[in-house]
Amino acid sequence: MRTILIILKKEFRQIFRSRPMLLVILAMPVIQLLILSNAADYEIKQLRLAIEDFDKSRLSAELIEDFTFNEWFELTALDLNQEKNDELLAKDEVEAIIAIEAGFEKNLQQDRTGNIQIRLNAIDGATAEVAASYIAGVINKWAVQEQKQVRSRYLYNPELNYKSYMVPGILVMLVSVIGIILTALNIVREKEIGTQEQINVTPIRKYEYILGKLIPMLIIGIVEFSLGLILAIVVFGVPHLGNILLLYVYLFFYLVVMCGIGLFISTVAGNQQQALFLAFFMMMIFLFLSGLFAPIESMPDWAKVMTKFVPLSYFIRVMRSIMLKGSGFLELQMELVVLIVMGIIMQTIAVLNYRKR
Amino acid sequence: MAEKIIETVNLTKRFGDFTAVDAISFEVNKGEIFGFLGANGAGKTTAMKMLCGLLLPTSGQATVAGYDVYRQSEKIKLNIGYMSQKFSLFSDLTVWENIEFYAGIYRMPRQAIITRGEKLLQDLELASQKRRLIGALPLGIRQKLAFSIAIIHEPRLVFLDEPTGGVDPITRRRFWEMIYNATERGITVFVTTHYMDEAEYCDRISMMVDGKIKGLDTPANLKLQFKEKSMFDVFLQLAREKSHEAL
Amino acid sequence: MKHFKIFIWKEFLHIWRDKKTLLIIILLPIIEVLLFGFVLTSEINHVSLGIYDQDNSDWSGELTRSFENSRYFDLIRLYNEQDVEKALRGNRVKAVLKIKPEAEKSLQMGESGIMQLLLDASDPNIARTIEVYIMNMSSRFMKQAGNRKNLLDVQQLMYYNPDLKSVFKSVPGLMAVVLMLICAMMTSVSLAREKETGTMDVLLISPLKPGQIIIGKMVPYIAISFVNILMIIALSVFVFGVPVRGSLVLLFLFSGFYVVCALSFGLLVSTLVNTQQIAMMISLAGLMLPTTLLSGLIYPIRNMPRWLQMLSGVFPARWFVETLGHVMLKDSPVYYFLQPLGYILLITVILLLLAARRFKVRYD
Repeated sequence: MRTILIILKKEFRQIFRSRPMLLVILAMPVIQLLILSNAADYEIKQLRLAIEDFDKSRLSAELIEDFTFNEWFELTALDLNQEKNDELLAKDEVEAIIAIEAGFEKNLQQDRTGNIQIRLNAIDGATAEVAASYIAGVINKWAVQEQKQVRSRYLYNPELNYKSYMVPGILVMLVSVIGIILTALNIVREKEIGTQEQINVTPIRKYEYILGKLIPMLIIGIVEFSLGLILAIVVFGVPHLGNILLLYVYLFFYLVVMCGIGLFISTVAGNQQQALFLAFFMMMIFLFLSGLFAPIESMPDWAKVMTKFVPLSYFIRVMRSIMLKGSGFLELQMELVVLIVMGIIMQTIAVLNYRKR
Repeated sequence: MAEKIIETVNLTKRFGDFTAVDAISFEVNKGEIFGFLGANGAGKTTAMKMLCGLLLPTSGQATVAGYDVYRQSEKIKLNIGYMSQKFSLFSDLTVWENIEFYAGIYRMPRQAIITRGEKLLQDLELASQKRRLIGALPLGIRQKLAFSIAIIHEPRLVFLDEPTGGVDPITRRRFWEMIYNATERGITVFVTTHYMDEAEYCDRISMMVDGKIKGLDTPANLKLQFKEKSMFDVFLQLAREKSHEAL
Repeated sequence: MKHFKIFIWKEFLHIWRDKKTLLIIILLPIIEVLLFGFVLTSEINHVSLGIYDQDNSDWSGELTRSFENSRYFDLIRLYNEQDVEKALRGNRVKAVLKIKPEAEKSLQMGESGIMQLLLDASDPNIARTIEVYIMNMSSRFMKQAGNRKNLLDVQQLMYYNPDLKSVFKSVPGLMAVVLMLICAMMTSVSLAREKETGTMDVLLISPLKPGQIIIGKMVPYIAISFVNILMIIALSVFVFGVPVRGSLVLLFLFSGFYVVCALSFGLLVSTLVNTQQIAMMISLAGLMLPTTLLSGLIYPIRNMPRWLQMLSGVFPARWFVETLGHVMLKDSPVYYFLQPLGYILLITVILLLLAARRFKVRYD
């Protein structure tokens, strides 16, 4: 026990001695959280439209009016010059062009088909699809004026505030990056400098050494997480309906997994550069399979299976559920079991891989 | 017969096809300064690493301080000190913090750490430098400090792996005085070096060439045996033999 | 000139010897492109949908079946309000469709609101998407006839990416992120390492000029970057069918400019720090999320608040994504991408100037 305390003392002294490092560890995630949370927004606030009205009739004017009075759209051009409009599309100055053909009103009145053409910049397929469905929605509503059979209620996030959803996720990501890299680099660095060898000839036991390395990382992770959590609640107004203490229980086990991965990387890597690239490699894969940016709901089945092996996906889910939905332990038992099992597996692999000889 | 602190029989280490240490057998007596001489790559460091439990031998037997290197390496570690050619103190910790750390992991009581640590600093005339970062000290002082810290827990045996690499002659001189002081306190010293003048300071020397021990005796006897005036000539003779074999 | 060549050769050897790093640098973009191409889709796929049928009529049964047969949803039947609550809170379902009692009758009497859709809106996007899908499916089910809708023919033309493949957008973004990170990390770490081990001093007192040292450090990474660019493009063209509509020469030229920009950033970092560890933390922890998020790779830049849009302009990745879009997907005329290209050059010059001021040839 005393040996562990001695190692802890040494680790903290080293961390606090390096001001730039401290700055990187504590300030960088906070700044990133504050700035980047504003970037994460899929929501199309306003679609810029160009409308080509070749009909110039009462009906077409009615339809155009529906677009002008809709808060989702911003009518930027009402020009009949198709080439010029296409150029606007290419330059990303409008998202879509709606063309109403000549004779639109007449056709409809005579029970013939009325043609409307929508041209979209589809490089960003997702945005284009959403845009198309918004536009189709307005047109349909204008055409049908049907009664609404399904009434929707948005639970847990009634204002559809995307930040409430993203901020907790980005926080988890930031804590993970620092946790993995710091652990991996810390140990590899001692290997490289040669102090590792010195320590290996001392009577320090393997578990003492590893605990002495892990505990500071856990503490750093918890401090960092807390900072971020305060910001999330105070600055971004993210709701926190569930039990925050429970959140920390999950955080603890999650950090154990992450540090285990970092430790594992450090046993595989020969120098700091390799450790960095291994960590980078893992983080990039985790990033896209975590459900942070790409919703797991829209992944193909094989990718859904892969997300089950990504610890990030569990903790992000826990975080969002506890904060936004007020979920309790009963609803999140499975996640806890998985995180604990992952932690045990990762730590075991890492410890077995770590050699004093 | 003097008490034996290291005993090896046919100790061997192979890395794949390469035999780094080839069946060496020797004994080290308690309280002596035992030198391990040889060119770079002769297998000195590998042999030493096996003895301190950093490397597992391929075959052969060895006991250090009465403990078996295969099974009792943790016991061995409690009884030895070690200082490597790579720099082994933490450069981002202060002098005192390094002392505290290393003494602490050898499970020294807190009070003893303070008294012995203060004494160590006085002996090295470093009391005023206590709070300076290791990284800010000159190499010579760091090496002396590293040695003092390596024996702060009064081990029965200390391994020094080319401890004076890159140090000026005056500091080397001082360093050897410190080694003598340590032996007077009953600490056995096992040192590898390729400085031939340092070899003369040792009680007994083993000459390693290509993983084998080619000669083992006091410096005086070795010079007689190889009919040379200095250890340097002994070394050259062995090196020449090697190149003849190669031809 | 000869000693300069030897120096570059040394740099290549460093990289070549470190097989693990090399493997990662080469493998990473491949895996990323594959992941991106397959994982990032805008469709929903087998989302669990709870159905709480309070009507239990033939009509509601038929409606339920129509959902069951779609590949978008996996149905989970729920039998009381408590079930509904638990399923939503426990992440078992993303939405619950409640069919009210007597729904069929109410429908015939022309009443509205016979179904309620409870959405887990903690992720607003998915909630909205699910809502749209369910609305469309239910109104298709009800097949209301006799209105103008049947007469309308709305034709959608998806320009540049008719199949709405997400790879189209992600390829340029991915190239921007991967190149930025690899180049910045490699240079900053490699230079910090020379500083840490003291070999930098040896280089500085050698007859090499500081400029040559820097260029020598950059050349191998430029080479590796081009291998990466080639691989990413080959994968996206042959596996995902992304077209290269513009000129390949221009594509490589611009990539070259961008790579130099990324390398300059790494150079600047290395002049600011003394240890590899900090160089790494800055170039990885400090770059990974900002380049991913502010390049427009995942989130459209024009959705961001104005100040953030301006800030994203500081990151060359944003401009590179824009130029790539023009060259690869649109084959736009040159004057379209002169501006973003100009920004990249400007950023490079600023980075290099800053680095040059910090790069010490002598110790004070």
